[in-house]
Amino acid sequence: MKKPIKYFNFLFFIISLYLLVSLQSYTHFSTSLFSILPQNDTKKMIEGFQQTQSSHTLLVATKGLDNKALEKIKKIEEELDALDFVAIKKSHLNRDLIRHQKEYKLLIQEVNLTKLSTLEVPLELKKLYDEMTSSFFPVIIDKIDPFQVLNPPNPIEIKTKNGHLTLGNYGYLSYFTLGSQNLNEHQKMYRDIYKVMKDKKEIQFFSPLFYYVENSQAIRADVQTIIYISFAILLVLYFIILKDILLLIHTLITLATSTILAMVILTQMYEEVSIFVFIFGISISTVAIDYMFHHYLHGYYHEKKKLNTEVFFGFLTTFCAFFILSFTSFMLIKQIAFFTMVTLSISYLHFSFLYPKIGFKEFTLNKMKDKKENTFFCKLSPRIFLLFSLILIFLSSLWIEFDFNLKNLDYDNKRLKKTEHFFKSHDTLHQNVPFVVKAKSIDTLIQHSKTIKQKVPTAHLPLSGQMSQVSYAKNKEIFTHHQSLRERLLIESRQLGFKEAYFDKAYDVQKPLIMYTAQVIRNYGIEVVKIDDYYITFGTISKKDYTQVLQYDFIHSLSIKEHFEVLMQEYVQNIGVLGFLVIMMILVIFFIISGKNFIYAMVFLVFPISMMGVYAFFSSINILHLFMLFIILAISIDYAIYMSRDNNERTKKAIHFSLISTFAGFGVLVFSQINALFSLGIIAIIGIGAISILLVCMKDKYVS
Amino acid sequence: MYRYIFVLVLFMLTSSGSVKENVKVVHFLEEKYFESLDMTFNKKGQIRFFKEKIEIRYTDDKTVLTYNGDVLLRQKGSNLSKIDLQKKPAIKMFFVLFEAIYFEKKKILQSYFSLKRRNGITTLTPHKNIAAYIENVQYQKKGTHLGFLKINMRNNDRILIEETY
Repeated sequence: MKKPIKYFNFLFFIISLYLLVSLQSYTHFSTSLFSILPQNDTKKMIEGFQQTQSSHTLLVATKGLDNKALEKIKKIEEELDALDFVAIKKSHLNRDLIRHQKEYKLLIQEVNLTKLSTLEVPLELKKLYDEMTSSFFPVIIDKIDPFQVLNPPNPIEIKTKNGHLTLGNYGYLSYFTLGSQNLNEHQKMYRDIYKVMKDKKEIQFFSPLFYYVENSQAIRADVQTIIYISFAILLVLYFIILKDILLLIHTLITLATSTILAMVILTQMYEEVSIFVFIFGISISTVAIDYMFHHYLHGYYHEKKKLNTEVFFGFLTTFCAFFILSFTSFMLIKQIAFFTMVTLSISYLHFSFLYPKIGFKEFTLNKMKDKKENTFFCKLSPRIFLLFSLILIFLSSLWIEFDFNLKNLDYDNKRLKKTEHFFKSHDTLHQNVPFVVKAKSIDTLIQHSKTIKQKVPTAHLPLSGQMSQVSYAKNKEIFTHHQSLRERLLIESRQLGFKEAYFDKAYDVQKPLIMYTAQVIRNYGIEVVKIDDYYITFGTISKKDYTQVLQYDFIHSLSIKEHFEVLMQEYVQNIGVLGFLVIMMILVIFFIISGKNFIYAMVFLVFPISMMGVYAFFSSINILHLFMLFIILAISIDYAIYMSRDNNERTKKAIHFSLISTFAGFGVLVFSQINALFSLGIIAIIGIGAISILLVCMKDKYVS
Repeated sequence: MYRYIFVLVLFMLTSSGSVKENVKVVHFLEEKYFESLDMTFNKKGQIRFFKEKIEIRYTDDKTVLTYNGDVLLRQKGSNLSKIDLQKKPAIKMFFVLFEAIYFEKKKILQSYFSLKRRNGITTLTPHKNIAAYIENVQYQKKGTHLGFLKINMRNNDRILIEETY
């Protein structure tokens, strides 16, 4: 331990730590499902929507419609309104917008052509006059459209009682706007709201932003637990196996260095990296430790030897498998693949080249109890395993189902989903589905919005109430054609007793076309977002009309499930193709190394697949199941390589240790509440279990 | 649609009349000024408050308006029309407003207006959601008796209600 190289491991670790801190790589890790989505238009549109006021809303409901409930909700309104980032939403109306829409209504609203063509001015004027003079109520005359030939926009049905919004028949409802803009602010807002609501158990409250806060907290807690369990198990395991404290410390430092450097490199490549990648990285380090086991058990750290080709090919196979899978367009798998390539490479370089230089005590077999060949299990021929596996794979094709819902990979926040469902179930307004209108210009965006509004009048689409070039030209032509309407109105109204010039603005379309800018629209309180070279706006529609509007190519869904379902199908196909290439690569490498025995190699491939086929009977298969399967196959073939090259007691011990370690490393993922991690863990356990069965129950190569 | 509400609100504000069994009847005198005609019209009428509904009728008109919380019924002879107030939240809002004034529910009133009281006269300045139609409202109550109620509309129309007895 006197040579400087003996301290290189520590030096690398310090350098990697320095890089981690100075580049603040840890700040790039995200708990959001969004970080694993590809950066495409859909993601940008959904992100755009999440920045809008609609997503930054808090709903609060008290039970009952009596005065006590009313007073209660008023008190809560006061308390919540006093918080930072929380403001009560009193009105949907924007004064400037109303003024503008009123002034330009003749050029904005749709004209009732039937009424216009059959309208008799003297008769209509007389009706108006009679209504004013004899009606129970004061008549408010629309000076611009006194005969109401314009179709009025459909108002949103808002339920109220005692002057307050209600949530169906459940009770009173209040809306709040949340001004928090990032996770830290969301968390503060969340804490403050919960503080106010602490003693008000009977109050229901919900905001879509709560998903960010709660899911993030849950995922972080989950990840922490997994790290602790994993670390504790592996530490105990390695200590029992190695019984060499110095080697254990070096190994842990190497694994930490490789993980940290992978974090640093990956966060330089991507602005946002899923925290799942980090967890997977920890688990994959249990595969990296195989390289150490094989070197150590075969005496590479005790005496100078040539390159361990089995380990090299084992590393090469796994590295190539991840390299091939890194060509996927599914971001999570891509990030995991890059992360793993870096950790495996650094670990391999350490264990293969640095550790022999450092030098450790010799591992002797007598350190363990020398066991005789296990005769308890009846060893079966690889052919039997192959046949059995192929039958199972064929049968599993009868029941296998794929799950393309990306949301199913996320943390399942049942409590919050229940609250969200509560609000949706009590009021049809909350059941409406949001959607996106997309166009290259603001004018086209308005025209598209008008098209939808015309098709489904009940759709809520604020931008449809603006003037487009088309609506301007159309309405101007209509009223110019019916110019006599205005002329007669001016004459007849005076004769009937109306004041001079009272109807001067009626049916006058001599106004210039207005070309709105995005900022003008935003000033009217209408959400417009510019993404790259196009604009989007948002609307809501009832579920029954939703599919109708989705048929337009300028309408896009905001549902992650709907959007990414098709994409996920592509990803799964893509992973299938890449997985096939991985298998081909594995076979090629296997044949290069072991030369013969096709069946022996095939069993290590098909048996884990058949076991996953059995699992598919109980659960639908997602993209991460498939991904993990190919990883398991790559690891599996390592064992086949080790066994085929140097099938002695030390190799078997090394394989057993590796299996136990990998099992522990990936096995802890099944304790995760997050389906993405659970999916990886369960397949790892099944796959490693399958390999263990092969190692124990299958006759060695060439014995078939 | 607001016009229905206005009158209901106004008439109901005059409700300090006699109580016969479960019905409270308020008689009123109404003066309406229309800026478009530059003319003033006078009318008389009564509002009947039942436990579950409110009924409005003018002396020289056979139309009866009935509000029951969810719908507004308008009956003239055998012709009956119905307005679903769930679909006309603005109309319903005015009924709610009336109830708030009549039963002195200040919290509800404050949801829509800013209140100022000087020399026995209360002035209501509308919040922006109804300010597009109403300039302001003034009323004077002596106990349960409504001295006067004046609504100034944005279009310069004016309504003055006085409880007659």
